[in-house]
Amino acid sequence: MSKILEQLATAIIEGDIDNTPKLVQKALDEGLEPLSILNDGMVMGMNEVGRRFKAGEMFVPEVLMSAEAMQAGLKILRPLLVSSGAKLLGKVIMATVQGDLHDIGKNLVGMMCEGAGFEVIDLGFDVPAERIVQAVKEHKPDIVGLSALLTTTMRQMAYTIKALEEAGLRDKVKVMVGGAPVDAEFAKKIGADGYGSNAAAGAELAKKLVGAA
Amino acid sequence: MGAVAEPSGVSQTVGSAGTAVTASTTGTAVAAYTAVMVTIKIGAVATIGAVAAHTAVSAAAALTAVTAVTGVLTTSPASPTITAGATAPCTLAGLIAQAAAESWMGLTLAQTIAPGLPFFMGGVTSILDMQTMIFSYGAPELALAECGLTELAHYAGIPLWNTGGCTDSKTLDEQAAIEGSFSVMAAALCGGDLTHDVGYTESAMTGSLFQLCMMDEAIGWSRRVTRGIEVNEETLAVEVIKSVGPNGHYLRHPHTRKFFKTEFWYPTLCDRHNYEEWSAAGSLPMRERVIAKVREILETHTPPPIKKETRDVIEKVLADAEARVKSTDTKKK
Repeated sequence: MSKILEQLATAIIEGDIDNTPKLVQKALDEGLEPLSILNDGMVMGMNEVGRRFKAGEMFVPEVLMSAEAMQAGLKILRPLLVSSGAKLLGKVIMATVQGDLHDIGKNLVGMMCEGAGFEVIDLGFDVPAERIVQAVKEHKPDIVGLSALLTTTMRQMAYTIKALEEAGLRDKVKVMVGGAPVDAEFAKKIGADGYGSNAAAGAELAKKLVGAA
Repeated sequence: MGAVAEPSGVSQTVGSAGTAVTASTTGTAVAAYTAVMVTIKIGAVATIGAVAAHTAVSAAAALTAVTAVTGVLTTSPASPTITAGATAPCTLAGLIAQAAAESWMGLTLAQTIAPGLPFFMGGVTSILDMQTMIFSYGAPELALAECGLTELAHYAGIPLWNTGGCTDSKTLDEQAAIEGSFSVMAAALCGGDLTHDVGYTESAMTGSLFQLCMMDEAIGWSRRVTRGIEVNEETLAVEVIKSVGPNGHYLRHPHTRKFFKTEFWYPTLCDRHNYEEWSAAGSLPMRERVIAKVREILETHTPPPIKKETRDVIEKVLADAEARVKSTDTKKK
């Protein structure tokens, strides 16, 4: 690994939001390929963050700093990646379902997915099934991520999946679900493709769902 | 070895759904728990009803206000479940400041609409665990922040809805006992007026009768501590010490007979037998004794039915509230 990529990985691990874009620019100036900068530098750093988080050595606020550093670097890289035709991991639509105003968990999953190399479209909270269906038609995502914090709103996830089915879109996207009252059994019951127990697990799941992990 | 009733007139502020239980008799723990939960719900609805009834503002504003108040009251009166590091600052001082502000927003709103409406301040103050992302019900910060909020509430002259006897453990185990007991004790020592969530396990995902029953013991223990040490001539017992003298003992002394039942608290679950006796009784660990007791209560206890007059009043309050909410809703449309 070249020195600059190592520095970039370190900057991501340390959540250095100021230096990451500078290092990305420096790597580009040195003539490195955008895709290599992403995969051999930034993603290497993010993978280490994931390992440390699982081992209990890093905490969520630190992981978020890393994800933010990742986003800061991607701001420069993304247009270059797109124009060079390089493919990102995939596209994820995130939403907290109708009737539920709790979006912290959903936002964290979105950030982690972005950090992992996905393009994330966030529909916000209290999102009716129709809007999610509409967004799937419009953006053609690989994954729809649904979140709910309440036992009263989690069933809305099932309605949303049903709405996707009725619109003939269900086989076009993977659906992942999460939130405090949700578990793997519930996910299975409502016909989701997967369940993530926390933000990091959500991003891992997203990778799995697109065959990247 | 039934529970020894604590002397009346000791009513102090330890309070809790569970404490009330201990005061009545441990045997009714489970039924009382349900009753308390029902009371809370009815109380909230009644309060909302009162808010709607007294409203002097426009229908739309009233609805907004009712919704806002409802949001605060349905979990517990004006009691934000506030998460350090997520929905509030991660410093406990900041957490308490924001909890009080949110709660007093409810107070202000309620008093504006219905002056004099009885108010109970609350706040479930704990942390977001930065590894698991759960709102911790077993963290020392929960107990500590509750103590801080209680002091603030009492400074302002408002009773407070405290939290204790709960745990992040998934089962009835040592973790559940440690976390639950410590928060019960902290709630008792800071004088929380009504301590709720007793029996919550799995970070409040599951209400456990076993945990509730075990905490009943912790509450009894804590109440003995908060009852304190009575110091006067009779309890100092200098004359008794003299009269017993060297080589004597106190077992037969009238002073002992007079005080041992009130000075000592008697556990119903914690075992004080010697090893031989304990082993002869089946070597049951605490966990199994708790489970056996809950089963016994569930099998044998018959809760006193709610009096018809009471039930009628409850139903009227509910019906009135529903009618009011519906009419407000129609007006808005």
